[in-house]
Amino acid sequence: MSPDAIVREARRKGLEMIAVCDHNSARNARPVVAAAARLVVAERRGPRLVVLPGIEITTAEEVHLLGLFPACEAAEAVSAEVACALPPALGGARRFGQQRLFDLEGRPLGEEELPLDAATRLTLDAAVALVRRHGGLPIPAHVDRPAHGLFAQLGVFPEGLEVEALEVTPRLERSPFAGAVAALGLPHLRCSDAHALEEIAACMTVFELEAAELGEVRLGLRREGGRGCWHA
Amino acid sequence: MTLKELARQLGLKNLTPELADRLDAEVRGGYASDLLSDVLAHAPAGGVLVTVQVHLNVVAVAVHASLAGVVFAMGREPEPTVLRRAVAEGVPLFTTAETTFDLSGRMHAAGLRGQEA
Repeated sequence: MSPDAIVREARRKGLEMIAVCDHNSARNARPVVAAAARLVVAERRGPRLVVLPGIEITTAEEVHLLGLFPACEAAEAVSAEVACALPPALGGARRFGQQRLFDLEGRPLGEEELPLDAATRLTLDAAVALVRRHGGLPIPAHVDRPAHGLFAQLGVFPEGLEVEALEVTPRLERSPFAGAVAALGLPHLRCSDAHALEEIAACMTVFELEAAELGEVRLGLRREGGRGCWHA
Repeated sequence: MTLKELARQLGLKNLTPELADRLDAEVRGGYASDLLSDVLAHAPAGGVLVTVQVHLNVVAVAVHASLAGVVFAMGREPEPTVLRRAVAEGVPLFTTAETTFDLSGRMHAAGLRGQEA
């Protein structure tokens, strides 16, 4: 998946807002934001394709936590701290899948050397605090999944965890954790978690907002001020 | 076997000495897992959990699953907040430098099993 291919596929499938959340890195967020801007220029008109810079942090408990940010600077600052909390580079050993980095023109720059598939030393509490400190929206990812979901790893919802929303998969109803998720009463975000182009828009969340930006997404999740969201 | 006997036999370091009265509890089995949902669903009541998971939820899950105690392997020790909560909830915590595998083997050799007979 290259930045240009991602934004073309998102556009083709009618998406208006996407979030880029690589595992333990936001280094490709800015190139995708740039690719979206190029796409709009190339089409000469049409709606903006909004790219929210983000990250999917693997915490020390091996819980996956999404962070969505208002700007690339915030995502990159968090990414730099996450990089320091990862195990050292593997030194040429085969990693789990590709970790390509791109420049702002969408050209391959090389490979990320850090093992992005590893767990960081950040606890879930510390990762949530890190995302919030940079103005981001922390969202436990695919909480209904048996692997790396919050409920699978930690059994019950941690007391005092400062998150405003949960990400769920389309298979929520069949998950053993469906009851626990419902009992929390937090807003749900449903995303494709696309790891390949064809998975983009496999499912989505539809928002009714005044503007396509993170602050409005927050309001939409809470269904405040006439904003709303539902799953498609 | 009581928790006190098990701790002595395996050379465990007691992280919650405040809970001395809990050490006379009979240990009814053992379980080894880092997935707390799995512990909730399958650990035997009255058993001892071996884990490297040091999140606060270990205490919550130990209460829900009625565990006799928890041993952190690989020399792991949880944050002081976790220790305080464990004392408040009456869940004895221990740590050992051994791996989960080795400690589980010794617990099995001592007669403990993963499921109630």
